Amino acid sequence: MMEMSVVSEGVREAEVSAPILELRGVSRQFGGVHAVEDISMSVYEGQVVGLIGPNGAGKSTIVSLIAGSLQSTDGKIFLDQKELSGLAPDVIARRGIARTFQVSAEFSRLTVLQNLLVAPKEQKGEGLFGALAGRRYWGGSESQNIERAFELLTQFGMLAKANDYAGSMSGGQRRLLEVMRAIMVGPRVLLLDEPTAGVHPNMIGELREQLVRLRNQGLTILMVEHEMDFVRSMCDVVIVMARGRVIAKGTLDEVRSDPKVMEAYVAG
Amino acid sequence: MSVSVQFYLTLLLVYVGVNLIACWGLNLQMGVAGILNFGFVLFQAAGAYAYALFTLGPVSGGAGLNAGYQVYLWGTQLPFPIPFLAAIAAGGLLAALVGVVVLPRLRGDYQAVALLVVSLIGGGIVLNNISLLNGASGLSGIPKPLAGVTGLSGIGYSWFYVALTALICLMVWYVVHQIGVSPFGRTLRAIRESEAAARSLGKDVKRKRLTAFIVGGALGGLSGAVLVGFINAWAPASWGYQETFVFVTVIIIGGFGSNLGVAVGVILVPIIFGELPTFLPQLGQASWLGAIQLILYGALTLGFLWFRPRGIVPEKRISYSRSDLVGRGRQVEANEMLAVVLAGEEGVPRHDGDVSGQ
Ligand SMILES: Nc1ncnc2c1ncn2[C@@H]1O[C@H](COP(=O)(O)OP(=O)(O)O)[C@@H](O)[C@H]1O
Ligand SMILES: [Mg+2]
Repeated sequence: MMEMSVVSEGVREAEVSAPILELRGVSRQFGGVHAVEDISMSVYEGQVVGLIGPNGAGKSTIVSLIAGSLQSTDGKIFLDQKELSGLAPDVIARRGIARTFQVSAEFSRLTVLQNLLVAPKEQKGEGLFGALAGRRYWGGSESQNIERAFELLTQFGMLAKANDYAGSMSGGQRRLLEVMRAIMVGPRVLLLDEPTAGVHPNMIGELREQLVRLRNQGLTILMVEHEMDFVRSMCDVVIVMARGRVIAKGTLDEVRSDPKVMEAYVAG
Repeated sequence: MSVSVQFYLTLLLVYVGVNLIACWGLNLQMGVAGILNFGFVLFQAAGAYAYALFTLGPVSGGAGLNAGYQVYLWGTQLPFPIPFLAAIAAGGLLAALVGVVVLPRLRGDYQAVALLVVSLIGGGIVLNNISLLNGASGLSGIPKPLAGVTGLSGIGYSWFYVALTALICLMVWYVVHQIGVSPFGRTLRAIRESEAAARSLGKDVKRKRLTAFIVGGALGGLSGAVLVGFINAWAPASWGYQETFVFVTVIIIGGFGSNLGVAVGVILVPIIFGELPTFLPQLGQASWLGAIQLILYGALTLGFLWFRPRGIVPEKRISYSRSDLVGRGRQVEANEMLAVVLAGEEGVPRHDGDVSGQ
């Protein structure tokens, strides 16, 4: 359909069309701290983009700005060329952006399975009157969601934990839970903030496998990640940030050989 | 049973019913949706006054009984069950008003304190504007529901009222139970656990919370009507802020978020606090008793929060197994089903679950 490899090897054909997610001159200050300064970037449909950089570079702030849990002090953010700036996080989520948090935010006094069941959009029985109508009204769609949740739990190797409280999970399991929960929403764009942090090495492979499967189904992913093997195997494009700014962009190997990047990591 | 014992018993049973309705309502707000509300009694008061205004009749020249000796802003006399519905509406409307102002602006503890202050202001308004609801003297001679229709009087009517209360409790149980087990209840609990995460999943947190707050307030209003339909009088002294702390204690001791726990708490708490102080050695003046009682409430609440934060009957864990789905005509691999049953029911660790963390 469209020509392949326009810019570089890793950038896929979609780049010819308009980006699904776009940041234009986005800044965010905390008091005097410029956490994010004049950032512009484009993410195209079906791409997996890695956001890397030393601690404090502003990566998590970017994720929160896109998701709407932080408001930018300057600049604009677009999803499908429609502006997101100023919208509440739940409105942005309903438009198709799901995210995970750097500090896990599981529903601890709900079970792992229930955590997943919260996610689907516009569930039957999620309003007062639907709830009062009883299981006969919402039971059907519920069992479809339960089935999907079990599928995900099987794929992520967490089936045995289905009925355990999320609060009793290990740090790594909570990460996976958040990724699964975000997937349950059925998003178009998935924002992941350090998805492999604390996850057991055996499980990282499975996480990668699941994310690759989703990418092949057309999901767009923007992930903050420190694990370079994971980034190499997953990401089409890598964006390097330092001190609130983008300092390099390209494939992982391209940006790795960039002296600015090496300097930032040493200095950062 | 002597008639006086029966009167005592019916009063006790109606009180249990009233507290059940109120605490289930507060539990929906506080236990399920996570909205700490230290002003809940205000909604009960609103319902009680609404019931009174819809049964007492016009202020002057109305039902001869009350004409002249008490004043209130407006009144009418409508048949059962309209006064009860009016009480539900009053509690719900007041909750909507207060909720729209307080909930989006304040978080957690601040919310609780703000709601306490709102209830104190409510009390102040009623006390200081006698023409509103007869001030400190309150309203009395409030008619009993269905007294004429049943033709009952005395202890016979009291037992009828116990049955009516039980019926209303059953209906309220249906409401709170249906909400509790539904996707709506699950979303409310999720919001309670992490507002940010619920938002990130696209949940309209403000609206869901407000809905829970309004339903809780409406139940508070209903509890007021049931109470005042039996005791036939209502004054600011009946709804001091201390009442709310009894409700809160019931929920913490019974089980935060657990409707069954709340029922246990409703029965236990008055027994503990009603009877315990009488076993204490007589210390100085009788007025100390009240103070000691309040200290006991605080101590017991703290004790539970510390040692058993989920209460006597904790919120129920809702478990599923894949075999639940088979019954609905879905195919599941047998070995997976077995694995779920083994791991889920016996807690047997399974190899594919070992995602050890940090
Ligand atoms: N809520 C906040 N309040 C104040 N400063 C913040 C806040 N969040 C982030 N920062 C600051 O912004 C900068 C970028 O942080 P962050 O986006 O978390 O970096 P990264 O995710 O790349 O490690 C850091 O200097 C951090 O201290
Ligand atoms: Mg970060």
